[in-house]
This record gives sequence, structure tokens and C-alpha cells, in this order.
Amino acid sequence: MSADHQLTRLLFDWTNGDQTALSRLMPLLYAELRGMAESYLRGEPAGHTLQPTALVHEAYLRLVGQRLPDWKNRAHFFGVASQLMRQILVDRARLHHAAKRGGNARRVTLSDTISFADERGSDLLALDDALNALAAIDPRKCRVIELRFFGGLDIDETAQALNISPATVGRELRVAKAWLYREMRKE
Amino acid sequence: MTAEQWREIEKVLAAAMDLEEPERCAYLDRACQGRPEVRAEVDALLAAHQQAGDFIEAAIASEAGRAEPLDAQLLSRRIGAYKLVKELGRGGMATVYLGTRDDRKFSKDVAIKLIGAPAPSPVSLRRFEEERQILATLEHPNIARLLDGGVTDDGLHYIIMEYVEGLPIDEYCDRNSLKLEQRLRLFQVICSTVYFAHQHLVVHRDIKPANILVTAEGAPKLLDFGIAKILAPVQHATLTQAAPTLVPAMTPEYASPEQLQGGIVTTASDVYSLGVLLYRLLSGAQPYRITGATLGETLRMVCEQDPEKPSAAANRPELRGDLDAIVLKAMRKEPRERYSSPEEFAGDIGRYLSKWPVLARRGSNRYVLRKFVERHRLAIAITAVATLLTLAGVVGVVMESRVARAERAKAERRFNDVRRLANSVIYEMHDGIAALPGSTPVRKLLVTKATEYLDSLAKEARGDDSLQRELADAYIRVGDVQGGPSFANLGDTKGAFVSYQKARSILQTVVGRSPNMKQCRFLLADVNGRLASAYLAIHDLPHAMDAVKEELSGREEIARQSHQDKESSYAVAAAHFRLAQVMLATRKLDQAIAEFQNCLKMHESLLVTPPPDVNDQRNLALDHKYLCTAYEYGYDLAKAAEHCQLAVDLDERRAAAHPADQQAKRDLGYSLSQTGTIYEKKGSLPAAFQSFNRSLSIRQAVADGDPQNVSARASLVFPHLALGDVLTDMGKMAEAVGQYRMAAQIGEPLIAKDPAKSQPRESVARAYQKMGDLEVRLAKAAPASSPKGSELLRSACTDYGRARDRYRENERRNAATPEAQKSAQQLAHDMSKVCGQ
Repeated sequence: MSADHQLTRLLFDWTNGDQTALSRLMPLLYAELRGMAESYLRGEPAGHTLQPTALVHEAYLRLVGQRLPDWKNRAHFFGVASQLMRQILVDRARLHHAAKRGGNARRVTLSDTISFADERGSDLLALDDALNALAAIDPRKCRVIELRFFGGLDIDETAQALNISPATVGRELRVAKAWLYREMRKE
Repeated sequence: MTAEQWREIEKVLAAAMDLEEPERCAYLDRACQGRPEVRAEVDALLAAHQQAGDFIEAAIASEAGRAEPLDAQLLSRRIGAYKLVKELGRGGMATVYLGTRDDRKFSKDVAIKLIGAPAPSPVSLRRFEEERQILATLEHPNIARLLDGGVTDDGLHYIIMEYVEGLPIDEYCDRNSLKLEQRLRLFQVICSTVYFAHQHLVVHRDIKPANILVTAEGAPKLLDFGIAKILAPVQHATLTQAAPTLVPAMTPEYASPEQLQGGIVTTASDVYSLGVLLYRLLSGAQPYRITGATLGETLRMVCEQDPEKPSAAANRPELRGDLDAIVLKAMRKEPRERYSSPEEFAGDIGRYLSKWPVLARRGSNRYVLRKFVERHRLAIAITAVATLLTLAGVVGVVMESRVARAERAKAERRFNDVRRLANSVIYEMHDGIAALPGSTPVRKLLVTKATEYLDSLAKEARGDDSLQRELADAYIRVGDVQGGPSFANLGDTKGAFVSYQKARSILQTVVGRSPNMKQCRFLLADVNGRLASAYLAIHDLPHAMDAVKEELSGREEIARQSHQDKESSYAVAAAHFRLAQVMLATRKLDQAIAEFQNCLKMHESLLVTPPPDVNDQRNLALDHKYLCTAYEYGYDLAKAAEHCQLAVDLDERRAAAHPADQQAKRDLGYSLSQTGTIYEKKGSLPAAFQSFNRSLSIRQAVADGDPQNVSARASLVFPHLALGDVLTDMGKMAEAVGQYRMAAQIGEPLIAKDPAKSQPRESVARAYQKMGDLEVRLAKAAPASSPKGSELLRSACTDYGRARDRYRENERRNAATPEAQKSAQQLAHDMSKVCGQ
């Protein structure tokens, strides 16, 4: 079974209530999204950007849209994919900053052989930190931000995915953005 | 903030967001009555709400890549007071449009550059703004004025410049068939224009014909002054990769060697580009055939080859002599060999035109000699030295500038330049070359020099926390290069202690004064960790224990304040790991094993989520190695073998997956040696022999690749000793003596190089002791009272004596391990029996 088909299969199983499918699905979807992101960046000339939200939509169309036309769980997919997209970007940022090791990026080094990446050096990593802190006191706001900015869902779709009203989504977004903005600027 | 506190704040905040002033204020007064802490929090969040903008999109875009695609919709839109009319041209990162101002009666044409730089972070925005302000001060008839610049609502950087109608200078000269003298006079104007900019602290960075337009009246206008810096605000050292990537804002034909190598761009880089420009104007040719060349070839040509003389390239004898010399002087590889400024360059052309002797032909012997030296140096070293010289120059300028009070602003700016330069040397260049084999001495030179400069600056700004932090950081790096146990180092352990302790005391002062400096507290923990490792390396266990405990408490504090996020939890685990190492060294085996098991669990859990991180893989293998050692110390060989084998498997996989990774090779060399030890203890001699032998050859390859690297050299001693032991057990005594001799031969210079280190001395002592033992056995096997027997006994006593001296030296330094003490006792016993002492 090809990776794509396996993915589709797992998505299907997951929708039908097989919770173990999700744990097998995550790494595959992660690899898929990451692969897409990388081939996108390789193929594009300078002056273009990787648009994470567009990638998530493209992945949806490829993996779900064409194969499971009646699939009901678009919101589920975006829920998972937006989380993974965030992870991919954070991993890229870490890699990038670890490779560069300029600015604030430093490493804690242990013995003659051990070392850990440490300390942040990018806006995205700062955002990631702030989102983690937000999730600790208000997980739903973190999900709203993920769906909206990493998954590319609009207000209505986000509302649908979280089963809340669009007005609530709007309010959650405003509050979450203010909170994150402040958190990112705290020393 | 707890979730409950947040719910209360949020309730008020959400309601307040829906209100306008003055209702909002009244509502807040009511809702927060008696709860000033809620009010303060809500006020802060409302302010954040006002300022926030698209920071989330910006943060994502900052990582996601380059710019938004520029599409057709851009045309006919407005940028500031201007309307985009048509596209004029496209470059690597920017597109230039013709813009027109039509809001009043008069219309004025401008050139608008939209830049596909990463979407602005607050930092890049500030830098962009700073640059723009500097450029806006450049008022000169031959410089196209920068009129405005900023960021559009959708996050595109833009620059609005005076629109110039004209031909690129090379085309202008050719079309109008300008005579040699006319070309030189035109070029002189360009030189003095560039010099004017240099006096205003602006380096052009991208001088080329396309950026010099000549109007119908014959006046040259320079475009894009300093824009290259905005386009490529951070120039990374590109030395690490075999095929470095070009900074896209640069034009390779006109770029100086230091620009191509990712070094620091200075006024001397502009002088170089002007030289290439003159080459082109006089000969009609390019100095190097770069078109179609790969980047590697380009680098080699520009950085190593001498260009053909312009006279020969153009077959124009009238260029021979002075003009050849002038062009080539401007194009020297070493920035300091070029003209010191565009003015001097123009002056030399003036001397040529008025038939005076030119500067370019003076002192050519010295130049030839220098060229010879240069050709035999690493390209990296050239960049490094050039950078340091630049740095020295700027420091001089700072000192000079300080004399005049009126120059204060300039002095401050230059102060910051030096700081940036020094940091760039420490962070970008040092890190850029750290992974290169053979780079250790260059790294040391770079870092110590840069630290000296920072040191002198820091004296003038004792109260400046962030400068003090930079200084501490610099000391840490110097320490690493001198003798950091975790780094390819120069074996100067003492120097490393001094540097680390300097860093520690600076950081303690800053943290005491400003407890909120998170970075400083982080660095403090960091340097404590390094000190712990360094003490451990010289077996000073009480100090190691103190340092690691201080590190641990620092890291725990940081983790608490960072909501126990992944990174800071890592760091805590790392400190636990080091604590476990110290416990292992003090033979608190049960505690050490428990700590290592915890680390193991953490690293295993990290590897569950994809993608596998090389560091995590390495750490996991390392946990197994230390557990193997701990069990070995506790004589549980079965468990030890199990962990060792797991470590070898992990390292094999990592080394195979990353063939260029020297660290992976070092790790594999280690795990193989360790596994050999376990096999040996279990009595599987052939397997042990194979493991040690493989370890030795891997380590030999690493050491050969970096001859200055003391650690790599030191790592050869152990497998030689071990092979000696295995061969002894296999009964191959002559071969065994050979292995021990190798161990001693490699070890002796290491002791001399760094007498504070106890480990090499102990190993060499062991080698001599074993040689003595074998010689005694061989003497016994020889026919009774034969000359061969007594000769063997004599050399046994010599070797025993050498072993004894070295054991004693470590005892004197309080650095004798329990094993060494036992061996020394055995030695005393054997010596008294064999040698009668």
C-alpha cells in the first residue's frame, strides 16, 4: 500500500472511531506535509514564500478531497494538520537556528559528547513558546490560533471545527492575540 | 498566572474590547474595583491588542521563507504618495517600478523598489528604518536620492528613489566611444562620489555598471547606495559548506573575495568593486571568466587567481605599466593591500593623468612576497585576518572619534559598529569555521582577538548589562577553544578555567544587579556546566560537584519561569546528566545509574515523535554508554554489555547516515572502545581485539584530519593500551609491548602540552607499568642468567621508574584516581621485588 493510500485509509478509520488510527496517522501526515514543504521550497525561485496554510489545504485536497469525497471530517483533518504544520515550522526554525547559531541561539553542552539545543532565536520560536504557555491556561485559544494561522481556516470554518459560534471565535482570536503579543514581549 | 486568574482577567478584557472610550474606562473602573492587579493586567493586554498588528503572520512568514509573490495586482496600487506605473526591472530579491506622484498639479517620477525580503519582524523593521535614515542623509549630485521607504500594509518593504534616466556606464562609454582620458575622468567622479558616501558611513556594497547610470548630459548617478545591506541584512559566513550559496543581493563579477566568502564588507570592498569596474571600462573585458562558472569555481578564481593584466586582456599596450598597476592594486585579494579609500584610488589616477609616479607601483617586492605567503594560506585564514584588521581599524576610529565632543553621535555609532563586528567574528565566523577540520588555531586567534576588543569596550560601559553579557559569552567561547572538554580544543585547560571563571564573575554581577536578565541567568548556568565538565576532566570532583549543583539550581529556576517548556526541561535534564557523571566519577554507582536511567527515559520519549533529532539520537546512545560504564564499575558485565551494544548500534547508524559528521565518528570510536572493554572483561578476546582495532582506526582517521586537535590525538592512547592488554592475554607479548610503546609515545607530548591534565599522565604511567610487567615476564622466560634476561630486567626497571614518577606527579596534584592508586601500590611492590627498590 502506498503511503498516500495508507494515509487515506487511516483517515477513514479514524473518522469511523478508531482512535489508534490517529497515532499512526500523525507521523505519516507530518512526513507528508514536511515533504510538501520541502519540495515547494526547492522548486521555487527566490521571492516566493512557503505558505503554510496553502500547503495544508493542498494536502487536504490531495489526500482527502479526491479520494474520500463524502468525508465528513474536514474539520478534524485541519485540526490535526494545523498542529503538525506548527510543529514543522518550529522544527525548521530550530534547525535553521541551530545551523546558524548566531544571535540568541546557543547550546548547552554536557560532556565530551552530549549537547542539547537551547535558547530561542526567532520570532516563530518565541510564538511557539507563547502558544505553549497559552495552552497551559487556556487550551481552546491556542487551538483557535493554530486552526486560523497554521491551518488557514477562516472564522466560520474554525467555529465549525471547534463547535463554537463564529462570534466566539472572533473574540477568542482578539483576546488570544493580545495575550500572545504581550507574552512574546515579556523578558 | 493560573487558569482561574486568567478566566477572571479574560472576562473583563473581552467585555472591555467591545467598548469604546470613554465607556471602556468607566467599565474598567467598575469591573476592577478593589482588584488593581486585574486592572493592570487588562490594561497591559488592551495596549497589546492595540499594538499587535499581524505579528503572528509575520512570525510564521519569518520562518516560512522569503517574500510574498509579487503579482500583477501590485500595479496601479499606491505606495505612499505614489502610484505604480510600470515595471522597470527585476533583480534577485527586488522588483523596481516606475512610480508617479499625481496627488497635486505637478507630477514627479520616482523609482520604487519593492523588496522580497522576509516579512518584517520588529527587529528587521527597526534595522530597515535605521538604514533608511542613514541613506536619506546622503545628499550628493551624483547619488540618486533616497526619498522614502517603509513597509506596506501587507508587509512588503519598499524604497522610493529618485528616478534616473540614463545608460549604464559601460554602455555609455562604449556607445559614445569615450577616449581613455574621458573614461578615467568619468571614473574619478564615481570614486569621489563613493568616497563621499564612505565619509557618511555608507558602504555601497554592490557597485556595478547597472548601478551607475550616466545621463544624457554626461553626469554619472549612482543608484542603490547601501541597498544591498538592506536586501541582505545578515550576511552569514558561508565557509562551512563545500558549496556555499551566494548572497543573492550580490553580483559575483564585481564582488570582492571577502564578499564572496561571506566575510565582513567594508569600504575596502567598494574599492575592489571600483577596481573591477575600471578594469571593465579600460579593457572592455571582465577580469575573471565567471559567466557559466559554478560558485566553487568563481570562489577559486576570485579568491586565489591573479587576474590577467587589463593591457593583456584587451591587447592594448597603452594600458601597460601604470594603469595595469592601478587597476590591479584596487583589486588585491587582501583588503589592506588595496587603495585605502576611493579618494586615494582617484588620486592615483590623477597622478597618472598628470604623469606623476603612481602609488600602485611602489613597494612591489613586498607585494610579491605577500602573494607568495597568501597562496599557501587557507582561504579562511585570509578572511579571518582581514576581518581582524578591519576591526582594529574601526577601534582606532572609535578612539579618534572620542576626542571631539561634536563627534559623539558618530562615535556611538562606531562603538556599536565595533560591537557588531566583534560579535560577528565571535558568532558567525567562529561558528562558521568551527566544524572545519584543522581550524582550531584560527578559531583561537579569532576569538581571543575579538574578545580583546570587546574587553576594551566593556571597560567603558560597565553598567551596560547586554554588553557585559556579550563579553561573558565571548569568554565562554574563548574557554571552549582553549580547553573546553566538549570541544575540539587547544589543550590549554588552565586558560579555559580562567576564561570560564571570568565569564562566571561577570554574569554573577549582572544577575545580581538585574535579576530579570534571563539570558544572563541562562549563560550563568551554562558556564557552571562547563566548569563542572572541566573540573571533572581534571578529576577535581568536589569542585565539579559544586559547579554542577549550582548549574542545576540555575536551570531549574529558569525552567520554572519558562513554564517548564521543552527546551528548559532539556537543559534541566542535561544538568542531571552531568550530575550523574560526577556521581559516577565519585563511584556513587546506584545514584548515578538512577540518574542516567531517567535521562534515558527522557531521550527515548523524545525520539518517539518524528522527525528523529540527531542530538536526541546521540544523547540516547550516550545514556547507554554511561550506563554501560556504571554497570561495568559495579561488575554487572551482562547489563554493561547490553547497554554498550545498544550504544554501538545507535552510533553505527548515525555515522552511516551522516558520513561527514566528525562527531558521529568520535562517538562511534568511543562506543567501540567501550564495548571492547566489556568483551575483554568477559574473556571474549578476539571480539575485544576487533572492537579496539576498529575504534583505533576510526579515531586515527579523525586525528589525521585535524592535526592540531589535542582531544583527537589523546583519544588514540586508550585503544593502544587496550590492544596491549588484549594481546597480553592472548599471549602475544612482543606485539603487546609494541602497543604500549605507541600509547606512551602518543601520550608524552600530550602531558607536556597540558600538564594540568591528569588523564594522559595516568595512561602513560599505565603503559610504562605494563611494559615493565611484560619485560619481567619475558626475562623470566629467557634462559636463566642469560645476558638477554638481565637486559630485559634493566629496561623493566627503567619503565617501572617512569611509571612511578608519573603516578607520583598525579598524586602530588591530587588527581590520582582510585585505580591509579591501586596500580601505584602494585607497582611499588613489583619494583621492590624486581629492582630491589
